[in-house]
Amino acid sequence: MIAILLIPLITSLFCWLLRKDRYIGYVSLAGSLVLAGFAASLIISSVSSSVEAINGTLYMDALSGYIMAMVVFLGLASALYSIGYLEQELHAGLTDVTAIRRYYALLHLFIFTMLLVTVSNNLALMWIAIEATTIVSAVLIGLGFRKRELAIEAAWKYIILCTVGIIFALMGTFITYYASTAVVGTDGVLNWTSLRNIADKLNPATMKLAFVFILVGYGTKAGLAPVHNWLPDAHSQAPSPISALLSGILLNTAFYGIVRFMSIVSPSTGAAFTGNLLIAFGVISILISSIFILVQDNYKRLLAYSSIEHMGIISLGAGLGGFAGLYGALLHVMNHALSKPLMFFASGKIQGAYGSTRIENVRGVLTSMPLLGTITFIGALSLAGAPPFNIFISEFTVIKAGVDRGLWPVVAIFLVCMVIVFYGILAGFGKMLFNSHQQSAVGANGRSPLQESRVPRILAYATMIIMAALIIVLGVRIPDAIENVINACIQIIGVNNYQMSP
Amino acid sequence: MEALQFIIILIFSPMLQGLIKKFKANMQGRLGPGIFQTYYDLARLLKKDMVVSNVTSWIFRATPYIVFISTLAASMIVPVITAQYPFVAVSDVIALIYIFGLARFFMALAGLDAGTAFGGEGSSREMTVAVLVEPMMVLSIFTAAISAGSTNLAMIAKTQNIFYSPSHVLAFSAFIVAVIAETGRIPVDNPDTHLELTMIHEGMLLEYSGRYLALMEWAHYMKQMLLFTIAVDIFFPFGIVAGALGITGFAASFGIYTGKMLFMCFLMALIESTRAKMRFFQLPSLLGGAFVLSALSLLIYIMMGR
Amino acid sequence: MQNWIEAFYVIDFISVGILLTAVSMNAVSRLETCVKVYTLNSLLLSLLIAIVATIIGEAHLYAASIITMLGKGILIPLFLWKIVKQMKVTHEVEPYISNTLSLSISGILVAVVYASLKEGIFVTGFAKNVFQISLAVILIGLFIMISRRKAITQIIGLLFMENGLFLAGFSLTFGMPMVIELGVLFDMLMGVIILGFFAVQIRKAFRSSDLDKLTVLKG
Repeated sequence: MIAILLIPLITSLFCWLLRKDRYIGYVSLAGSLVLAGFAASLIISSVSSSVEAINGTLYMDALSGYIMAMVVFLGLASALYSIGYLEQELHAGLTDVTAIRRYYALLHLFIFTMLLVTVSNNLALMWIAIEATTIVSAVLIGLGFRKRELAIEAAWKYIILCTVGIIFALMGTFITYYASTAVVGTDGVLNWTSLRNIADKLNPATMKLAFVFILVGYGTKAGLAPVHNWLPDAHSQAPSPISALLSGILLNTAFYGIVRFMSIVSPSTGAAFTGNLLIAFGVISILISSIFILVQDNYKRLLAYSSIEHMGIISLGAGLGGFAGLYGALLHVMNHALSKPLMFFASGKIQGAYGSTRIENVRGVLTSMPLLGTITFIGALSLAGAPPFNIFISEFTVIKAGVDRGLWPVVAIFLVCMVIVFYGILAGFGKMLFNSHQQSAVGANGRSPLQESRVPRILAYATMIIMAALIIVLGVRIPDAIENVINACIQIIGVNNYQMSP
Repeated sequence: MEALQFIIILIFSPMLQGLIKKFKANMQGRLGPGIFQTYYDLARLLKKDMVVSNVTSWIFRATPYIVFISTLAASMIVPVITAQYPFVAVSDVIALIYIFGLARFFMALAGLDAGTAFGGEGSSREMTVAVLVEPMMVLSIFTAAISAGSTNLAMIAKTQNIFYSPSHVLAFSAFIVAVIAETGRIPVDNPDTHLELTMIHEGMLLEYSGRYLALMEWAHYMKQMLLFTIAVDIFFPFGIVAGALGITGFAASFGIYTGKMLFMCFLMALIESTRAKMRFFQLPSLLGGAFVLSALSLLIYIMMGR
Repeated sequence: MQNWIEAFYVIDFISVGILLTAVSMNAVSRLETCVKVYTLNSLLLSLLIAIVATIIGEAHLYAASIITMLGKGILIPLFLWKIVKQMKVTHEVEPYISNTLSLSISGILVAVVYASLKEGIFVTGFAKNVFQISLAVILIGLFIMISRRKAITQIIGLLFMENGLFLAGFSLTFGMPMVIELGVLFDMLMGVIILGFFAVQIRKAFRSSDLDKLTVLKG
């Protein structure tokens, strides 16, 4: 497990020390591949039985493994995609070698911090890791190659809002620690495994307060609605591979923190308390984001709002509880982590070709770039929740959970918003994909489209094609392996706590 | 016998003013006037003829007496060296503040009465400051009043030996600011000048001369000493006699009281020498800050229970 | 020693000092003074921890006190000082809310904390007062972030929140395990450095250190 944490650190160091810009990308790719190799065996073993390291400070079970698998996979995908992306930016004169070295070093540092989140058993260590993701990713957003001022603005808002939010989460962690001292004596415990053992003895009033703090704190990071303001800015201004990581996995790691807390808070307060809070946050997220999706004229921001919507769905699923709710939420985590990064990768290509992120400036992608257009089309359909694709399945499962609980108002709001989102996303991307080719693939600034050299191009497209293929496959059938992992995760979160009358 | 303790204030208040001036002069490296200079000034003013503008009404002529007498009445209800005196029943903090309010009201009216620009200016400024100062004074006294369980000054002075806790330190600081504002000292007002643009208290007295001016000035000195006395009564009441006043008791109490007054004079002189006069429109931020201080002191007292 | 500390309410005085420094931040407009006030606040915090350490005699609290002093009392203020010098701004010219009003609001915040925690669930003798004060400091820090427009003052507001949080954690449980506190402090330090870096970048990119200019991204 420690090896897993060291690999991205070493890769980061190498990327920082290397001087030749041509090779940095491949070094980073090699690092990601080694990481994937090491992680695969660990993840597989963690599903059947939990793994511990350093006196139980680090701990892995199926839930950690599930999230870690996404971190590793998306880290690899980003490393593959970044090579071409940065080459393109370099040719356009938007960046220089120093920035590229910094970019790769931070990218792997970012992956390291997210891995640390997934393997932290100690809740305070998890907090430290989540705060570290904020700091590292803020610098990555601030690198923003295209519009310096906007990138700085986005990064500033991001780091300020998330740090304030996360301070509340630390407060929640403190309160949890305080609650544990009442049970185990003066030296309280902070390890998730120990806390879970005494979860039903913790003082409910204290734990309620702790959970509210945690939800607001990590909820800010996870992009849940009333505290989501940083998200559209940061996602739209970050370099595309970073947007993909932010949206696909960073939000999920923050939500992972909430879920870990939920499983120790629910036994003392009752699942209704945590569940209702999550449902409320989820519904508000879905409502607000669906409205913004409808009126959005910038496709990267549209994708960012779609992230808020999907985090809302995950939160709703987790809040509704029951087997169906948790299953839907967990499945949705994965589906979203596939579809959204794919869309950010694709939009990075579109931005490179057209030089604009405004929907009205992009026309006829499907005719001028058939392959990219097809991939974008698949991704957009998936995000909108169209039937043969993966996200439809998980959304449907969440709706089923709502119906099981008999929460008709929630189900109604959810369905209406899904319709709005469906229209919003397809209208936005439809305009970009289909409209006549009166405007060729020349940017609004009159630059001809920048083409990167052959190998990076193939790598990037291969990544996107594989992801698109996975989207379709998962929409048709969920493999047994994934089914098993999700079942194990539900066992860990504790479905038994959710058997309640509405 | 105990009822006559107000005489101390009546007699020694001009000397207190002289003392502050002396301390200040020493701090600034000057020799300064003697501490009895204020007595000579008062005596000279009392002998002089008065010039009274013929557009003024009775208010102008009545005000010096009202101000002097109400201040004298206030000094009767404040415990100076003993907390056992005939007026204990009425020695209430709120009553005291209203008596000051009465004097201030007539002073402001008289400032307006003569119809000069500076008088009106002084009155309006005085009232503005008063609006800010009064609540803060009341709040900081309340901190002490709550811990003593009474708003009666004699009770406050009697029940507590010395107040020493965070809330009382805050209340004391706020009260000192209130005293500075009420006595027209730097940084709120400059008592030594008659510069038209800045004066507050002096502006209202500008039309007075002779005996009237002497009464007004004397009342002002008394008010100053009274406020000092209230401050030490509330925050450092140790040494005040709680029972009947014997000769030894009188001597000891008077000695301690003298020490406390010297300390207050020194404090005032120190503040005056080290601070610069603030511009009038900046005053709200100073007084507002002090108001927050006094509110916090009350809050912290309630929070911490001491 | 212990009797002496109790007789003079030392803990009360220091915690009130922490509250007062936070409140007085609202009346300070010189940026250098802001940094000084923050330094004072951090030093008081470390002093409080040291005094509690002598009372309950726990070695790791001494270490926590020293770390607080080094990190928050020396390193972060020095860094902020450097940033202030680099930014070439000395004053908060026009805060969104006047100093007097923001002072009063921070007073009200303290009252709100008191009112909401009256029927507290935290009953430890030592924690009772200090916890309320720490929550008040957190809220005041948040308020500073809202009411000021300079990048630096926002950072300082954040730092005040963090100090309040530290105090809260300390009052609830006498601090976390050492490693955790080091980690939190390190995170905070990195955060401040990155924020300072961005503050300078904002100054360069927008030719102003006011955050009003950051209004391009919306909707």
